[in-house]
Amino acid sequence: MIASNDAPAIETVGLTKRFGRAMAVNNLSLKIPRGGAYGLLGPNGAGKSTTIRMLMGILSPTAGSARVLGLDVAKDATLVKQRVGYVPEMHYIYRWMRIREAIGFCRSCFTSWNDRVCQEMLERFGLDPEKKVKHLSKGMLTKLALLLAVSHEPELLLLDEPLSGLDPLAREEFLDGVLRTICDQGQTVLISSHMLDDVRRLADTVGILYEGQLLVEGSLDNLLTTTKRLCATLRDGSRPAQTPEGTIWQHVQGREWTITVRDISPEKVQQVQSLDGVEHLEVLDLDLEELFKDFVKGQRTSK
Amino acid sequence: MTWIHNVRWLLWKEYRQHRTILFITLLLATAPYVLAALSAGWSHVWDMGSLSSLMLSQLAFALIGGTLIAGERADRSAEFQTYLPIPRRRLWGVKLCLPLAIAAAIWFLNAPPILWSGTFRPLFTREGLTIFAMIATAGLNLFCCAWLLSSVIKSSAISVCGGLTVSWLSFSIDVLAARHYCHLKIDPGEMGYAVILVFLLAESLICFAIGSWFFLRRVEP
Repeated sequence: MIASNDAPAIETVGLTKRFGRAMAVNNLSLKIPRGGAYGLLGPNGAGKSTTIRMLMGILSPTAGSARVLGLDVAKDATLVKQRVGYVPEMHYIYRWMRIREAIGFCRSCFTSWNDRVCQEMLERFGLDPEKKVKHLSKGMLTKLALLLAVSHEPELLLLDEPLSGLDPLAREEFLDGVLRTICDQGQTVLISSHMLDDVRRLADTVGILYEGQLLVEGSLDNLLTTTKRLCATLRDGSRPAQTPEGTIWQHVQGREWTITVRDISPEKVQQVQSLDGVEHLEVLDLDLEELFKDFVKGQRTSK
Repeated sequence: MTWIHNVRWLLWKEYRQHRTILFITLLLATAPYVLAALSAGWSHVWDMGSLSSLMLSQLAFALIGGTLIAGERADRSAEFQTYLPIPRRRLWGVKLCLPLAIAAAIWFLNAPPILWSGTFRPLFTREGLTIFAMIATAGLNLFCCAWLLSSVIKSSAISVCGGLTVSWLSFSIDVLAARHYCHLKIDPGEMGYAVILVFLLAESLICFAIGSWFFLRRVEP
């Protein structure tokens, strides 16, 4: 029950969730320090939502443990929820409630509810307090869910595909306005999204999940700096037998051989250049989307 | 006191979500009086209406028991509630306020007519009390059976119908068992009722305890 303030925002050890025979999350060990934004990426069915739901204490793990803000999620779920804001992918706010009633209901649950923040968000998102939840569009519903998740000034914000359904303007306002402010105040944000541009704008650390396992994790800038795509022109179109260490994905089309390599170094570039059959080599930078795709494709090919 | 504030909101939410059932309860409780007035005239409203009302309105317990938990799971609003830091025991306590309020309303509505009409003149004799005990236990049993199903099944309709069926079956079995037992042994009337009451009460408590355990222990909404 006692949680120290220097405990990581999120810490999981061997976290596993099985649904029947399907393994949703497989022995996941994560450690996310306080402050900053962490982007959790992965293709559909990678286990992102399941992981977030287990962190929120609304899904019990099959094995392993999770601690959030130093608290054991299994034992102190209510305390965890008091300090965490959560925006799920699907919103099930009582449809018969008016917005002001939904706010009042949530307000009564949190000891740290901040009316000023709530009012600011209402105005920022242009939500009419008298409107019924069932009459809200998907985007407006998302805005309401975001408002309810941040108005109690959580120490940790768990966002599961939070921006789907939001128009570009609202997305920008939320990312650059609300979330940026939250990060600047020292709060932690864990965001899972398919919109990699949004993750790129916000997250300073990313982790890529695939089939419930963490493929790669690290500082976004570092990953982008150290992972490069090498485009080689082959003399006769046959791929060299050797690949440099750290190859995460490779593909041959005609005479063009594309390889994505982690921890790139001048030696590795030299090694590829000197391979038999390689005529010309080009080193290209990757953006987050390409990096993500290459990691996932590489994993799929290896299986 | 934040928790009192929270309880008030939860009570309002439960009322708002189940107000249709409250309305149906009102109908079940008042319709027999109207029917009695129409069929037998005003002079028989209280004596005919009161007992019918008391018996018919017990059905409300199956309705409320079957929807209290399953209703929120079916429309998935339970999921929203699960994100919020509300202790399960508080939710459990608030949920039980509704059937208690219904019970109070049914008995308070029907008590004056029963007393006034003198339908059960020997009210405080063992026989009179047995009849009321049977009705109250039947209501409790209906609620508990539906509550148990509601806590494990996501459909309110199945929980309500299942609750009614299980309760009716167990009542019938209890009656048969009591008759069989009493024919062989001592005084059939008094002893028979006692056996039925004990069985129904025990079954109700077991159903309620298991349903509550499921509700309190389940992590997933």
